[in-house]
Amino acid sequence: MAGTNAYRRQVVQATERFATSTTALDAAISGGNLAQAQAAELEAQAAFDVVRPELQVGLGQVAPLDGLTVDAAPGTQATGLHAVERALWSGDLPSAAAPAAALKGAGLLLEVSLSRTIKTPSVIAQHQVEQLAWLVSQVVGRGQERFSHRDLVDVEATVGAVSGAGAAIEPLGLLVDPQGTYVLQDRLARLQTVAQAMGHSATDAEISAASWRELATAADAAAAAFGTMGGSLNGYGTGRAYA
Amino acid sequence: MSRSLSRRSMLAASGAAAAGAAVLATASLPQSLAAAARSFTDGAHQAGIATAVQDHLVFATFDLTTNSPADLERLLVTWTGAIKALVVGQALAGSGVLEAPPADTGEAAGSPAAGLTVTVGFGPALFEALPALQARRPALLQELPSFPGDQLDPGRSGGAICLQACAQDPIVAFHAVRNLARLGLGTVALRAFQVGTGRTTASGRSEGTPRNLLGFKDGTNNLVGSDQKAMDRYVWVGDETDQAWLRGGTYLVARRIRTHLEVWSSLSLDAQQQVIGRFRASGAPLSGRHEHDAVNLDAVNNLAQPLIAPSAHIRVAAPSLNGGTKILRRGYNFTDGVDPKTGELDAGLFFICFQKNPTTQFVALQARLAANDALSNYTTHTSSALFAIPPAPTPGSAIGAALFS
Repeated sequence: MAGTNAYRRQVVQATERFATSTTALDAAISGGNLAQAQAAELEAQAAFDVVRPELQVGLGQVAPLDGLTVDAAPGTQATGLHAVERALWSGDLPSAAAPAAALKGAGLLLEVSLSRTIKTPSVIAQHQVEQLAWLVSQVVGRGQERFSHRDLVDVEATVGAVSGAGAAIEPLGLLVDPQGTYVLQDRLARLQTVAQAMGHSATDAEISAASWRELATAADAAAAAFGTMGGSLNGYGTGRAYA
Repeated sequence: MSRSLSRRSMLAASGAAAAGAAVLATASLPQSLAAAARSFTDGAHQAGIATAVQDHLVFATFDLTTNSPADLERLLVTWTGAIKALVVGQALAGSGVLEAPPADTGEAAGSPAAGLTVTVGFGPALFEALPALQARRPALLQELPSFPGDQLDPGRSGGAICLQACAQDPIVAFHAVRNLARLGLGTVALRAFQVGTGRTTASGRSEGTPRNLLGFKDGTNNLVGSDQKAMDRYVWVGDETDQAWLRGGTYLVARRIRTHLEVWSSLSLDAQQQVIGRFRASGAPLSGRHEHDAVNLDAVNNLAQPLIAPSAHIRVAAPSLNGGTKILRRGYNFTDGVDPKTGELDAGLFFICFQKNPTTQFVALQARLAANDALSNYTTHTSSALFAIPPAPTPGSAIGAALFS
């Protein structure tokens, strides 16, 4: 239950950050402050990265928030973070206003809808596999639409989120599957080291191909360890105390 | 019968008979080979569509390097003769003199015909490169739209012409495309070349359903080429077409679908099965017990939750939720080494499907899959192409000849 609660706190705190940053984003755009708007947008991206694995693609929860251009229906304009990012990094502040306002509303709804996130340790581990899959295929694999060219924001947020999830399940893991937990600890430590070595403020172009590949390799290894832990922890914890 | 034919014997035979002609015509084939030549066509249709699916694929696309329809027409005559020879295990015949390069590249010498089929198609780029043929362009032959999640490589996508070679022996399929490409020098240039190993579709229920690289049986409920009634309904172009030359043909969609195998393999078995909507071991839908049990999308568990999740692949792809439409799949697994960006295997499914209307069939289906299919989290489409496949030529004419008449 401690793991379930810790993970719930992580997700809820991320939804709060998302709501706060999208509110700040909306205010900065309304005030015509491009630098503040860009900073708020990056903060919202980072918060959304933590929340993403709790949203269901099939139920259409991700596309309106992520707002990739390719997600927009023909004849319509994308909304969401990427629409705002595109406008802000092309200096087109007015075009960011409508999608930012929509995000502000969505942020509050997200905070409410995920406030009772109840996940068993096994499911928490499994969600990290998907989170790392996204990191490899979309961030390292260059599947994201790039306007700010600040993918390190996604790297930092994702590695931080999976590390937090790993810490949440660690106490139970040490009891149930110590060997698997040690492997996960080692691989998460390696992933953190690689991510930290990439720096904090570099733009995408300043990061070498070798660094991206090193990150992907470390992420795949961590994903495999999370997958194993998902099986080991199956049946432990119900989360009922929080349901 | 065709599997017993050997190129080695045919090389010798053709060398004696080949004065000056670059390519053989079927009239010159020995009588004993005539029956085997059936793999050149499949009744009124080109072979390689309804034909039982072979184990290996080579799929190539070409750009036109000419703006003359006459050049293309000549190439199709040449290719037709060559294909007739290749599908019966015969090497291409040349002058045979030491001072000249061999007409046949020779890598399949000694190999059996291996059930080779070669299918030829025309892409939108062909009509853009040849304005004189613009009036013959089918209205439905348009570049496919982009779908959510696509990461298309332009160099692998599109093309003026495609060749699909399928065989039981990979070197036979490779040999066919390589030699046809050589014959096309000066008229066409290779644009993309994809090798597929391990078919992912069965030709009928008597065959075991093959598995894809995800480890699941693939295409259990798909249309099969032997179902003539369904083929007429969903695959063969009929009187509805605006181009008479395409009647009896079809449309081919090719998509290179990269699968993120490392992450997929880290998912729990339950998660994998939920994504697909089937049990991995048996291939049965999560609503049933046996592979070919009907998929019950309304089935729920004791908590009233659907057994087949809202985003499960088989639900999103279900014909009942897609206007009842179906497509004929003919996909192959591929492995193309290591992705330099991620260090992961660059592997997946080279998806090929045939349908009579790409807009209402593939495009409608893919739009739904791209937006809602949980499997799309583990796949990336890296190439996309559409081709119109003309019917089999009438006796004595070449593939696509009606396009020029």
